[in-house]
Amino acid sequence: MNESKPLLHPFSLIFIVIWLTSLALLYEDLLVLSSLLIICILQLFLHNPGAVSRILRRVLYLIPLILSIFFFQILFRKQGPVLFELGGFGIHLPAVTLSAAVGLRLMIIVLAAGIIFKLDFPDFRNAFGLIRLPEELAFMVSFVLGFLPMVSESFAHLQSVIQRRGVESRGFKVRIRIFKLIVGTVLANSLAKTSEQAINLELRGFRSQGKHSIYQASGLRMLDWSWYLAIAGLSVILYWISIFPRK
Amino acid sequence: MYRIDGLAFSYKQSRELFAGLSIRQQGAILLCGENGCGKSTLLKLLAGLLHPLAGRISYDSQDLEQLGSKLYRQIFYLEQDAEQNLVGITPKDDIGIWKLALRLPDTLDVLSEIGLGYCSEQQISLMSQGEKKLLALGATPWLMDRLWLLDEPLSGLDKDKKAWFIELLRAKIARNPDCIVCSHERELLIPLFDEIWHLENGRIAIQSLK
Repeated sequence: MNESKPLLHPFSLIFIVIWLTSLALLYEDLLVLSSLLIICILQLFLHNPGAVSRILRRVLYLIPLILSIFFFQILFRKQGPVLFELGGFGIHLPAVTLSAAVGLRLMIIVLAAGIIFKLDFPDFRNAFGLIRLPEELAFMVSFVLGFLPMVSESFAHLQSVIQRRGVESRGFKVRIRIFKLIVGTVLANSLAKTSEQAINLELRGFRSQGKHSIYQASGLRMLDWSWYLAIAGLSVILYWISIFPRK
Repeated sequence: MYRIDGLAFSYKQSRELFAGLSIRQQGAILLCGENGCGKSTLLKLLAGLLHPLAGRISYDSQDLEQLGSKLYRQIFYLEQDAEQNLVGITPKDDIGIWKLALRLPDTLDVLSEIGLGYCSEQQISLMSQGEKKLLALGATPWLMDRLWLLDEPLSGLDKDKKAWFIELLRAKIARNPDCIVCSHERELLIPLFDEIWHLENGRIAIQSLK
């Protein structure tokens, strides 16, 4: 988190993400999930405004997946009250609610991940150090978070290398061959990169000298505690929404 | 043949390169300049991998934006970092991809031609920098009719392999002189080229060699 001074401690940001994603998995109620989605978008604007357009683009990429879930649920789920019927074909309420819930959950997870998108290893070390978790764990988490963008970048780069050789990916067989090769290369490169990182860490003597001081260690501030209070309040409101009887 | 008119480019939060550069490429060009002067960026712009902030780049009178991927059937671009040019887990995979674009002989023959016949099944990530560079140049004997944009083609190669590639470049220029090669090995390459482009402070000084 190098560009600007963060509003909250990295630990608080991680906590917000865990809170949002856990509630998204716990609740099935569409109203609660929609509220969580709105909270998620607001948090993203507040904590990582620079990444909003990129993250929203990722959410757009999810739309075909969400639509296909809708399609299969509507086609195969035939229990519960009927919302719409034409001839022998009917759309049932549970199919619609379940697919909407899955769609909202996916969007919440992607948007929530965006909140901690710009945290780097020192931020994770700072956050994990606050609750005395080992820095190996901080490294693993920061590496995994950086892994997906690395893979998608590698995928795009290999496509560009193939294109600039003048290869025309016409025909199903050629496309499948190219796709297989790109996937294989991305996996092989990722594994090679991972072992390279492990060697680099060993060469730097990672955790070989026992306990040492942490650069830029900081505690929670008043603003962080206010956020925890707000999260507790929101949790109560969401619980109340979920149990409130609705027609 | 490339034509550049009023080119300007800058990376995010970085100084502007090529303030209004206009130039026309004809024949074999050796691109020289100090580190960071924008040689590789210029080649990337010519290869259509970067987009100018202002100005126009055209190839055979057609705008690069309009040409799109058709450009890649007429040029061969080599990135400075050899690994960035390679696809696949082994050299065999990489040559296999070239075969989708070119009529090449048997994969092992291609690899033997560049002296890599012994490592057709080896992982690319475990190969040396020189071997990766050779592999990246592997299809060049079959790309003589394309315009070459080469970024440091000699770096990482040993003396014999440099001599092999210089001979190949000589044959290419004799057959089709269109190429822009960026290299710090000026003394080795000067005899082959028609012009040297000295890139400094966003401007190009042309030195004719013929």
